[in-house]
Amino acid sequence: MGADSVTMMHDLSVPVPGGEFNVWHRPAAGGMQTAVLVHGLTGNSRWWSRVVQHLPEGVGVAAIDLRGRCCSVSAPPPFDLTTLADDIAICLDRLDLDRATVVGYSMGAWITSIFAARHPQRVSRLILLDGGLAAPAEPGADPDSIISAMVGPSLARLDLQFGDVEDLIDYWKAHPALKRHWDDGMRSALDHELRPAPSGHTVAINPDAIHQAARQITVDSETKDAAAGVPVPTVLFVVERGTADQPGGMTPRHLAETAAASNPNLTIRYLEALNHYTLVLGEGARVVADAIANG
Amino acid sequence: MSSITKTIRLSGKAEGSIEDAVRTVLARAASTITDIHHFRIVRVGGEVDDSGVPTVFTVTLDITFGIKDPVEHG
Repeated sequence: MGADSVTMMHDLSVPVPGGEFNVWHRPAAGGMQTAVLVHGLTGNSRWWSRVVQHLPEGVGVAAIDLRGRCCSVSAPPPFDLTTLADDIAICLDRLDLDRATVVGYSMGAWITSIFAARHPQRVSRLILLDGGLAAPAEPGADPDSIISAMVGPSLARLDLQFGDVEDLIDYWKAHPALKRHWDDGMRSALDHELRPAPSGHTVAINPDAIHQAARQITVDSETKDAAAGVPVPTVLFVVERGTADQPGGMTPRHLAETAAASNPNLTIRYLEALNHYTLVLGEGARVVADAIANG
Repeated sequence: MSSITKTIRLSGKAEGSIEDAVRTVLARAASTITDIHHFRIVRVGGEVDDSGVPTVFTVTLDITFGIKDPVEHG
């Protein structure tokens, strides 16, 4: 356990029609299972670095770079959440795995919930991290505006270019959700997303992928409450604070309670003193890793 | 105003003018960074259409902001 766990990881290409996407991977050992990790709207595979550090070494890891993000920025469309969910099945096929523990964070919670609905036999357990249930939107509301309010200031970095990676790290250190919780262990999760650009370095994101996801998460009635109907044993982690460290996480507590009351597959776990980002980048990573390893 | 500051280099663009581009970069920066003190334009550029009309203005800024707790920023 520790930093060596991350050095065992390597990038693996997964072919899809018209191209490929990337998976940050290490195989399982000692009869342990593999966990498929699915990041959030603007994240990437390395956002799981700290979770991986806390996992027992025998646990296999397949942290996907979703199409349109980071190491999969050149992956072909479509970018809809159903396609991204089916990419999990393609990933399992590529790794010769029948099933896995599936973990979705933020937007990844919606994607993995859709995956569980479409491929329930391939999910041992589903772990959802502060996502999968969206508050009702006003009729006619703009999805990009809703997602901006949900995701908060981290979206702004997509419109900027950074002089170098240290400028990006300093930007993250100033982020309202991280500045009181920063430690240098977060660097390895956040320093992987830049690519050279004419005026510096830009975050490797395809904006089409962001807009598509924003619409589906916020206003698509078939998608926005994906976690409510999960057909497999599922734990949904709900945090106390949000994307700007404000009170209330991304997942409205009352929606989680309502969903769990009508779906016996769904269990809610509340985590106090964590916000949407420290859940995976900070102190919450240990809790997440324990849930993956021990249930 | 904080006595300890940090400077980061950010670039961005706008269609209207150099000033619009500056405002865009500062607004995006301010969504994450509080206590911005000042900025310096490091570079100005842009794109031009076939008629010689500028279509996009790009600016690179050094943005200096205060740090309340130096431990937070290492």
